[in-house]
Amino acid sequence: MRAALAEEGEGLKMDMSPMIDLVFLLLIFFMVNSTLIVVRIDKKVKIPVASEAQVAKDATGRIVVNIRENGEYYDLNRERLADEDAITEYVRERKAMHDLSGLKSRIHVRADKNVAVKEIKRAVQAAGAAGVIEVIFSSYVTEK
Amino acid sequence: MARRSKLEAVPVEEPTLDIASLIDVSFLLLIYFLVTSTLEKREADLGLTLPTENPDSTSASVEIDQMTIVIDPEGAVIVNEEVLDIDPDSRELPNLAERLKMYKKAADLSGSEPLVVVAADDFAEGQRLVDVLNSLAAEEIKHVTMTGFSEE
Repeated sequence: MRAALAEEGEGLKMDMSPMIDLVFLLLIFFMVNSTLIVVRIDKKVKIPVASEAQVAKDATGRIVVNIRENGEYYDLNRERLADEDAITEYVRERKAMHDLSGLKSRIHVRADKNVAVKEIKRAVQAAGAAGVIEVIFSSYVTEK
Repeated sequence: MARRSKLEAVPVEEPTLDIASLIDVSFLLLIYFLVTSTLEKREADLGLTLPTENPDSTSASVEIDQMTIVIDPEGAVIVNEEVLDIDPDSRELPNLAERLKMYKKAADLSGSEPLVVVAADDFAEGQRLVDVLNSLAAEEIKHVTMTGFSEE
């Protein structure tokens, strides 16, 4: 009788190792995912809405320029770009990096929805001066 | 002899590690990153190509007249001096969509690529420019360019 009970108790043991594997995998996935987003986003920019915009499949070769509501420009690392010349210089530097790794450079404009088109034009023109002619505007697909 | 077998029996028990706390910690981290990463909305793309002084071979094949869309400072959308959509608070541009559909059809019939130029006023809002680009994306017009840059 006692022997039978002991045997049943043995059978209840669960192997935890595949579960830990899975949890770690998910953990690393979300860690990588969240840090990728944190680098790119300037939270002070209120992105406009466009229902037909496509979520990007290819995010390589992008040169991010943030344009805040007050017309100030910020680069990828949220450092201020003072004027057009600073933008041109920044875009040229990034483009040189992309050219080395064989990527096609594109300007990724994260413009505030309330900013004047004038500021967007200035940024795009400055980027064009650095030799990048493809422009991508960031937008949300839905309002919420 | 009997003493020796007793000594051998001891190291048979495998050393075990308690991994319950490890799972606790990793679950906690997992949930933290899950919550923080899903709070961000995903951004989508609207494309545009800048006008160049040396057009490449692809743009040389364009035969149909280009269409110019003007956005005035109040956000009204104007094509051929005809005001189409005036409400800057509405994200829908039904009249422009209609016009673009006709233009796309004409371009398809003549076998050429539709080419649209957006001339947005300096004081129009960024959202209005994006609205127009959105309408163009809806009609799958790829050749979109922008004008009205300051001359230097």
